[in-house]
This record gives sequence, C-alpha cells and structure tokens, in this order.
Amino acid sequence: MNAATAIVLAVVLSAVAVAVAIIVHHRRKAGTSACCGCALKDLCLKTE
Amino acid sequence: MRPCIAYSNFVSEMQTIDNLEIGREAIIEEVGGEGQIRTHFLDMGLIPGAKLKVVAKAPTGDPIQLLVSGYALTLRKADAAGITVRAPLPAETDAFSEENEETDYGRNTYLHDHNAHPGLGEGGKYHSKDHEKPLPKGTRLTFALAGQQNSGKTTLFNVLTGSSQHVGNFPGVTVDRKEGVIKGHQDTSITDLPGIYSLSPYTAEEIVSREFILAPGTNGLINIVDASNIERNLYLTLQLMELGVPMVLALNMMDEVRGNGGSIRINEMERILGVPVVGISAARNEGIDELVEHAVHVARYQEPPARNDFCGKDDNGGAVHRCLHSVIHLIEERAAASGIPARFAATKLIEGDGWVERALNLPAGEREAIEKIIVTMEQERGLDRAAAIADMRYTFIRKLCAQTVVKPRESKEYRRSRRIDKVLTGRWTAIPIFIAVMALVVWLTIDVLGAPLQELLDRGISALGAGAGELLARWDVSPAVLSLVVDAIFGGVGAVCSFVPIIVILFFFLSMLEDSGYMARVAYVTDSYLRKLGLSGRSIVPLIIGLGCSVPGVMASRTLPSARDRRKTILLTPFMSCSAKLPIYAFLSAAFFPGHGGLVLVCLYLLSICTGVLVALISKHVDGGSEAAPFVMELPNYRLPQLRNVGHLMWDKTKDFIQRAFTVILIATLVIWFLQSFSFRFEMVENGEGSMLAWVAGLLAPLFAPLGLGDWRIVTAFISGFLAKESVVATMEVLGVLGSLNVATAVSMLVFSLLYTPCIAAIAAVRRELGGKWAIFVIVFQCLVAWVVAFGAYRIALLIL
Repeated sequence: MNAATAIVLAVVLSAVAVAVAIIVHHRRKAGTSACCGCALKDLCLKTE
Repeated sequence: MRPCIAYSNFVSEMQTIDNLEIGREAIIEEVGGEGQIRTHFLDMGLIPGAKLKVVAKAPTGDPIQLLVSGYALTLRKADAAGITVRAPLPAETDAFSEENEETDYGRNTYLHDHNAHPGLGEGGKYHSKDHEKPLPKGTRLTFALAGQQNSGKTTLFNVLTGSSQHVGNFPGVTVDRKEGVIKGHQDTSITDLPGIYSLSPYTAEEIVSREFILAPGTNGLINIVDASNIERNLYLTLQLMELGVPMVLALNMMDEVRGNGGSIRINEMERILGVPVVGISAARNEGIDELVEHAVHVARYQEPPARNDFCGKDDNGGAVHRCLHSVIHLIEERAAASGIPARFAATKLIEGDGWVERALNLPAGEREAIEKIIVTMEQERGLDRAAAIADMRYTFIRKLCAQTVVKPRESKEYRRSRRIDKVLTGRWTAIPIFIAVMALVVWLTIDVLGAPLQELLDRGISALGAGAGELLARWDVSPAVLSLVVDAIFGGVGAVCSFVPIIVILFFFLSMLEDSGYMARVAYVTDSYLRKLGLSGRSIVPLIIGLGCSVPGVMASRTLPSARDRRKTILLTPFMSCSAKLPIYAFLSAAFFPGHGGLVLVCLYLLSICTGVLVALISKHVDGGSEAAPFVMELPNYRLPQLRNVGHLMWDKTKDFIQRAFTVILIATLVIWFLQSFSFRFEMVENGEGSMLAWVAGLLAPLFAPLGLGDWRIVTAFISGFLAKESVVATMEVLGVLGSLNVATAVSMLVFSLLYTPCIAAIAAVRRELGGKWAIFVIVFQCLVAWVVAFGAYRIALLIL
C-alpha cells in the first residue's frame, strides 16, 4: 500500500468514525448536560 | 325531545349538531362521547351553554364547519352526533348579532377599577426585594414556549431565537422539538413545545408539554395566545397558570385586534391574572423586547403567577369551588411530595387524569372520599366532572374578557377567509382546485425546478467524483480505495445528496401552503374519502408527495397530529410510485412495449394506488376497524406566509437531510459497496460477478424463480436499487440483464420494481420517524407485497401473452 492510498483510506475511515460518533452521540446525548432534567429525554432516547 | 322556542334561523327543537343545516345557530345543551374526543370538544370550547353556528359543510357533507367563540372549527358528522343542541333563547341570540358586540362591563367580578400599571415581572420601583427568590448568578435560564395551534408560536420562536436553533426529532410529537438561545440573552435557552389546546393527558404532545414545564430545569414559561381568538386561547393559559411556574402571557396578533376595532386592557388583565401580560405582534416584531425582559425577570426572580384559583364561590352555586378546594386540602401533602402543584393536581384528579392519580399514589380511603366529593359536585352542578371543570375555566375567561377585552367586530381576515373558502372548499370546486394545486406543486417541484437542479447537482457531484478519481489514479492509489471514493462515496452518498434540491423546493411549497392556511382546508375537504381507508384528511399530502419522492413524503407526515395516523400514512407512502423509478419503467417499456410506454406508466401508477388502497383497507381491518384520530380541527384564517418561517423550515430540513446522508446513509452505502466489490477472499471483482453481494443474490435468486426472475443478476439489480432506484437500470446494463428477460418476466420485473422496498434514503426517513423496527418492517412488508403482486402479474402475463 503506497502513502497516497494510506492517506485516502485514513481520511475515509476518519469520516466513517465521525459518522459513527455522531450517531452514538445522538443515542447517548440524554446523558449530557444539555438533556439534564429534560422531560423529553425518554422520547429522545426512544426515537433518535 | 324538549320543544324550544323557534326562530327563523335557529334550531326549533333539541337535536344534534350533525342534523343542523348550514346557517343554523344553536346553544350546546349536552356534550356526549367519552375519552379523548370529548375532552377535546370541551377544550375547544364546545361546552354546555356555548353558542355555535353551522357555517359550511365539506363537499361530501362531512365534516361540518362551525363558528364557535369567533373561530372556525371543523368536526366529523359522527363526532358531531354526540353533541346535543337547542335553540337559543331571545336573550341569547345577541351572540350572533354583529350589532351587539359590546361587552357588558357592568358585570364586573374582579372589581379593581384602575388602569394603573401593575408592573408584574418588572424591575425598578415595581420589584420588591422582600419576597424575591433569585436564582444563583450564572444560572442558565431555561424557558418553555407554550401555546395553542395557530397562535403564531413558530413565528415568535423564530423572532426570539433568530438563527440560533437546534432541531431535535420526536416522532410521536406533532412538531419537531426546537431549542434556541434568546437573541441578546446568551444565558438563556428556550424550547418550542408542541402546539396544544390543553394539558389533558390524551396525546403525547400534551403529556410531553406538561412534563417539560414541570421538570426541575424549566425556569420560566412564555405562553403565547392569539389575541384575536382570546377566549379559547386563554383556556390553556389557565391550566398553565395552575402549574405555578413563573410565566409571561404574550398576546399575539394585537395588530389584527386593533385593525378590526378591538382592544385589550392589558394592565387590567395583568392585575386580574397575576402574571405579566405583554401585547405583541410576532409577525411585525412588535413588543418582543418587552416580552423578553419580563420573561427573564420572572424566571430570574422566580415570580410565579399570583393567581391560580379560577373557581368563583358564587359561580353556579359554588359546587365546583367547594369540590375543588376540598380535594386540594385532601391531597396537598401528597402533591407536594410528588412535586405537582396541588391546584393543578386537584383539577386533574377531578377531570379523571390517570397520570396525576398514579403520581399521587393515593390510598383507597382518600380515593373514595374524593370520588364522593366529585359525585356530589356533579349532582349539585348538573354537569359531569370534565364538563364542570371546563365550564369553570370558561366562566372565569368570559368574566375576564367581559372586563378587559373590547372584542373586534367580525375581522376582515375572517370575512376574507369566508370569501376564499366559498371557492377553495366549495361543493363543486374544492376537489378540482385541490388536484390542480397539488399537481402544480408536484410538477414545479419534480419537473420544473427540482429535476433540473437535481440534475445539475448530480452532474456536479459526478464531475467531482470523476475529478477525484483522476487525481487518485494519478497518485497511484490502489483500485479498491479508488472505487471506494468514486463509486461508494461520490456515487452512493452523492446520489442521495442530489435529492436535496427536491426536498428544499418541496418543503418551500408545503410550508407556504401550511402557513397560508390552505393545508387545513385540504384535510377538511378530503377527510371523508380518506376516512374510508382508516386515514385522516391530512394524510393526503404526504401520499401525493410520495408520488414524487418517498423521502419528503415520509417527512411531510409530520404535519399529521396523531401518532396512529402518522404511522399508517408513512407505511402507505412508499406504495406511491416515486419518480426515481421512472427510468426503470422507461427502460423496460422501451425494450418490451415499444410505443406503449405511456399506457404502461398509467397502468403502473394505477396499480401502485390500488395496492396502497388495498393495503390500507386490510390494515384498517387488522386494526379492528379503528377510526382515524378525531378530526376536531380549527380552520385558521388565510394569511400571507411568513418568509422567515418558510426559510427556517427549509434550512432545518436541508440540514437534517444532509446530516443523515453523511451518517447513516454513508455507512450503509459503504457496507453495500464492500459487499458488491469484494469476493469472500477479499479480492476485488469486476462488475459485481463473484462478489459477496452476487453470492447473496444467488442465494435469494430461487425466491424470485416463481416470478420468472431467478437470475442472480436481476436480484443484484434489485439489491442495488435499495441504494437508489436509479441504480437498478445502471446495474441491469452493466450485468446485461436485458437479454435474459422476455415480455412476461419484464411485466413481473416492472411490478416488483414498482412495489418493493423503497431506497435507503426513504428507509432512513422511516427509521427517523418511526424507529428501526418499523423501518425493517417496511422493507420486509413491501418486498412481500411486491412478490405477491408480481407473482400474480407474471402468471396473468403468461396466460395472456
């Protein structure tokens, strides 16, 4: 694998990692300060 | 039947609303029914003693349009049959007379003459430091924005927050949950609650709203009311005040009230209610600064409403007053322990609210005592519990309005709406105009504006992909990674992104129609037809949009007020053949039915609609014939759409769609690309032959054999269509599928393509609206239906051809 291939692959994998992180963040955000005390968090967890 | 005095224009004896002719006026005697629909009637002001007039009927005679307390309300005949009315007595007839709109200030109950400014929610000389309970410095003030539908809530939220909005997603709730920071107050956050008529426990929106307001993190409440329809809007206000949360009352559309010769004594209303009252016009950005200052003040110093008691000792013998206060005493301690305001808890207990009853965990003895108190009240008052509480609130509101509101004459907006409605909802004109409007929207969206822009974007993305491909090839990047970038990311995600113009343009038109008030009329006009399929009138819009593209069709279902209707509509939307399937029809028609492409297209569209209708009927039967959610809906006056609201909605939808394209869809695309490009030995393959996907297709091929489509290449084309329907034709060309088809198998393939699972973007939209399980259900169910119908079509084709 040459350097260019490795760089492009790393960029794509990073993009996938960011996408996964966003999805996971949406799933877990009820635990963040933004949702603390929010009465909607159950609905949020259920559907995000 | 009790005989009543007859007047030319009034009902002559006791009868139900469904039997009233257009133009008839009546007084409500009894509200029948039970549960959600009855509570909704009461919330909307259909209470015993209320005056109404039948204004119009839908083209089929159902639903009916009524004028109640100065606003237009529609309800189905079946629901209207539960409401008994009588003729008004001579003293009551003035309610319908335009000449007698003056309020009787002689019947002043809350006797404080002054127009002096009470100064609630203000600093300086009006603020007493003796009783203040300020929140610690640096506390982020969290507000809830609550109001009834059509009160101008969205406009106010947009004015308050500008562009600093975050949109969440809550299927099961009518609208998106929006949060933002109030402009100029960085230490604040405001949440736009769903539009609700009351805090009854029947809908997710109402439960969510009250739980949000009662949550410890909520510091203040901004309640927006439509001042031009103040009596019904104040009904929610009284319930919000019972919650004891610091609040400000924003009287919106004051410009309209003034323009129609009305006025509101704001100081006096503020004194009587004990909450700051601010007159605003959200559309004209008037009074907003004053509103925000008051809201921030009451929240920072935690100043709750000074009044939360709305039952008069002498009102109708005082039965409700005695009942309510007895219950308050009984539950006071438990309510405090449960964190629910005693007054609110008592009212809700009397209304029969199970949520409050469970939260208080009352022992059997107390429950019995409360039941006896309520039964006594019902006997003394002559009304059942729910009606008695609704009547108590409306009695207070009537007195308040008698003292503080100079009602405008019939507004010019209402008169204009009535004139427009004569055409847009007329017996012979409604349906043709609706079809013309929707055809125009779909045509402009898909053909005139959307398709060229989509094509342009598609070309741009393809050019970018080609450029990236050349660059990577020059860098000597390995073929696998090159294919990953060019085919999967630019080809897959790029194809999905090319839908953005269509989504944006469609939501532009939809929000224009919604904001103008026409969408409510569409629901009114089509309700009786769609109810036969177990759907609501509002379902028509997503279904029609689905003919263009399933993704915005599914997303448009958010305008439906009930979760059940939303689910049924979303499940039916993919049955409407989307425009992305057109290339498949064109490709196969040209090859096997040359010269008859138009006929094939019409047949396919008819088949998709018929299948959708059949599935709806079966689903209605499976549901046990359950009716669509009650159709008690306000018909707002026609208004010019607010460009700011339209712009915000378009931006929200675009952002939402692009975010999904680069998260869920990106990952799914990469997975499919991987399966399509590699063999089990992880060697790259050409044209999918020998790939893992081909192996899977080979496994699935026998399932398609009864349809005459048992070739792995055809199955691969179907699988690639899951990414985007456009790629079916591309795969068929690459794999040389055409040569293995004949006329009968082409029919089978056309029908299967018409009905099988929608593309991944549509499935992602379904998942977003209904959750993962429903998304999987849609895939499996659509494939099953497609298989059955395609099998039938194939057999028929074999017989005929």
